Amino acid sequence: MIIVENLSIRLGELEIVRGLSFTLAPGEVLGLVGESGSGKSMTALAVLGLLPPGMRASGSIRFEGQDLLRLSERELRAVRGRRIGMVFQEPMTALNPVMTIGAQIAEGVIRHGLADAAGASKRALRLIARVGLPDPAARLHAYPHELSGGQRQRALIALAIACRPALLVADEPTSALDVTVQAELLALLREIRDETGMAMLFITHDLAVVSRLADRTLVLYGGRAMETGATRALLAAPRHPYTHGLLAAIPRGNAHANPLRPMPGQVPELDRLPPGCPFFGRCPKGDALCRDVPPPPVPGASIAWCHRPEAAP
Amino acid sequence: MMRALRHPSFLVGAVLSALIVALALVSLVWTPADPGRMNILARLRPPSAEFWLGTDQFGRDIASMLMVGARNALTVGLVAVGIGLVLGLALGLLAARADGTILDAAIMRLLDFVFAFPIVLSAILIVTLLGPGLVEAVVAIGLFNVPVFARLARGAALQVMRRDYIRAARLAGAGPARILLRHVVPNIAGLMIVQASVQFAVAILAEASLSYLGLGTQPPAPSWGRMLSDAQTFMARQPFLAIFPGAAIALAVLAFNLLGDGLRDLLDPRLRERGA
Repeated sequence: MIIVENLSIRLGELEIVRGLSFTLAPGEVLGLVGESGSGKSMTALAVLGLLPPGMRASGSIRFEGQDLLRLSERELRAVRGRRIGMVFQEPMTALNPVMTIGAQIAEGVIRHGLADAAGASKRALRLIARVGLPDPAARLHAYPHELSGGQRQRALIALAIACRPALLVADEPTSALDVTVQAELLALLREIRDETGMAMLFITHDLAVVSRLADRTLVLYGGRAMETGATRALLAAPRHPYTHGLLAAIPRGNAHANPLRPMPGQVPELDRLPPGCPFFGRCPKGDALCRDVPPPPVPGASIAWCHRPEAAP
Repeated sequence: MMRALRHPSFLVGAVLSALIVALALVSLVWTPADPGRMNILARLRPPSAEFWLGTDQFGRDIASMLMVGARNALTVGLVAVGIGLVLGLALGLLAARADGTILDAAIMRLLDFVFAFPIVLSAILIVTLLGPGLVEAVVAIGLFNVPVFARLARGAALQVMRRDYIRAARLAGAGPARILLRHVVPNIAGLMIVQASVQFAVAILAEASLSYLGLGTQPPAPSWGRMLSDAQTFMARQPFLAIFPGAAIALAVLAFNLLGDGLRDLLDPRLRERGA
């Protein structure tokens, strides 16, 4: 349904994302995992044609028979928000503080020509009820500051699915919330996916979130793909040393039996990446080949872009 | 609302401003005496039961002139701030939209140039070119309010335009004009209102200064600034003549400044969060 091929995003000389390819089928959830600065949010914005000024995307993003990167602003307007919805990361800044929740949900529905004002208002009420906000009729006329963080994120989900998009892009929608609220919202997103059959591009730094929601996972580092595959297989037996390191750094169970192993080093500056693998320098297996030659995709239980992938068990 | 009543500078500012507005409104239908009627037999009188605030050198009732003068001052403030607000907001939004381009730089440097001259000095310049008169003075003051509002609008709009809800509005299919008018402007309106209140005080003071210099309101229309300059000649014989219009100007400027300060505190989201 969406086919991204060889997507690169540049800011001047800096290549924020390089040669990224992935596909999404209807109803499928792809988890895009990476640390801050891995290019995952920019990938999401590129899919929506909302890159900040100065950033250029190349490659192709094919969606419903169109290349989104070659559409004019006017043509894009018909797609984004309508066929592709987005849930933003920060519930505090993603809702307009001077508009009621109902008006914000209705705006897209009206402007995309799906209903008149009365119809949009009715739809907004249904959506507010669907995402589980208490007392929907009152919430319709509430302002964002009257809602808690979790409630705002629910309202944002209602906003994102208001036009019944075929694809939902979610950029860390649960990262600003506490764990119990997080779990509720992930369950809600899964329900909505099951009901509507929409595909979801789910961006997160949290492998635990990925394991709960994503059918497939794509791990990013330094703007490049590291490893991709079915979530279950990838988390059970990571083949890329980076994925391995991410998993080892997750706290679990008894701290004495399973001591936390943080990854050494820090995410390098994008302009100081080696010509080869971006993970070179932090990788325990890195050698001269890794430094100088970009690794090819190595197929297996998952696809790993690595010269020295772990053998499949 | 309760918080507004507990905020001292807002409360004092609001009450004083309301008083001045009320006096100006009352003067439309009633004044203690006809402010234009001269009375040679009652010149330079001190305050009394008959003339509440005394009379001037032509025997005109000072209290009545002050009330009509308030009308004059408020009209000047309203029109001058209106000109500054509308043009400044438009230019500021245009510059913010064109952030980082030559258009942005051109607008802002032009406004910097205008802003570099003190408001009264530049008003004198314009009035000298156009000829003295109330309309000319108001236009001059208004034009020199433009950079104040434009800078504020540009900065605030840039900040707002970086928020995710502006992205969300683009997702909702809103075009640039709708985003500016429906999503950006309401979010910077509070700031603009506060600034308008402060500029209102500046405009009243500027008009009083111009009229004092004989470049603003022309006789016989009463103006606080001109009353003050007329009073100068008779300072030794009748000091009340200078005190009352001087006090009126000072009070009006104080009132609108306090109102602006109070509004700024009350509208500041950080303080609001703390209060909530």
